[in-house]
Amino acid sequence: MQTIQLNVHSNHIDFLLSMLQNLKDGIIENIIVDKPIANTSIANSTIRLTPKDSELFLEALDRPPQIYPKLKEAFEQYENSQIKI
Amino acid sequence: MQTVQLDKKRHNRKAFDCEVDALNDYLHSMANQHSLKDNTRTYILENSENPSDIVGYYTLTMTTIELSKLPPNLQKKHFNNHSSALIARLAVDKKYKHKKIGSWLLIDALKRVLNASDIVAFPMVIVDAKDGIAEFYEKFGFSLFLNEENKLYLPIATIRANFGG
Repeated sequence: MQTIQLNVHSNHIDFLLSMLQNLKDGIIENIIVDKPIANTSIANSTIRLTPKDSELFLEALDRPPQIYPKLKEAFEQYENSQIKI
Repeated sequence: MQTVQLDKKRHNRKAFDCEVDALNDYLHSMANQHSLKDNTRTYILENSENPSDIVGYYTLTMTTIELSKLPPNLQKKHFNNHSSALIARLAVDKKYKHKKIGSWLLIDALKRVLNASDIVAFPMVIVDAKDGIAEFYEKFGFSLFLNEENKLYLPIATIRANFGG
């Protein structure tokens, strides 16, 4: 396995996501993000992402849709035609 | 109960009064023209005993998503300038207030939007709520766009999950 150093532009998010997937799948071992966020206190830092970080990040992006009780209840009332005019 | 497309020969548009001038005026004079030009579709809930009597209505069309006003996790999922369904108007006649007709019309609109998204994919439905009405939509899971007071969105995936799809 190898460590890949990326200089990722904000427009290259698809590429970053595919690298995160590779990291999660164990194809690469680390992603090192150099100077991660411009104009912040960590602008001159280096962040090392591990497979666990990648897993959490990808899970956050693919969070399952939330269930809203009021929406679900209104849908069930609709389906049961409980409202009369 | 079911909604049908606005039919100017069948529906007594002038008698509709939801106590909001902009929504009344739209139904009285614009909705049919917009539909003829394929700009919007207006759906009517009729009184079952008197179909000319309009209980409520909503109007659907498409709009573009302002990605920069979505949370980062959604920005990363969708294309810039991606289209989205828009519930442009939703109103209930004052004679039928407090009967949960607004909720019923919203679900009916969301069902139509969900069906449409199965044919031509788009990621969310947006609503332009009138002043003071945003809370009504938030109860059903809609979220405000960043820095907006009356413009809300609900992902299609959320509708599908809540409707048991």
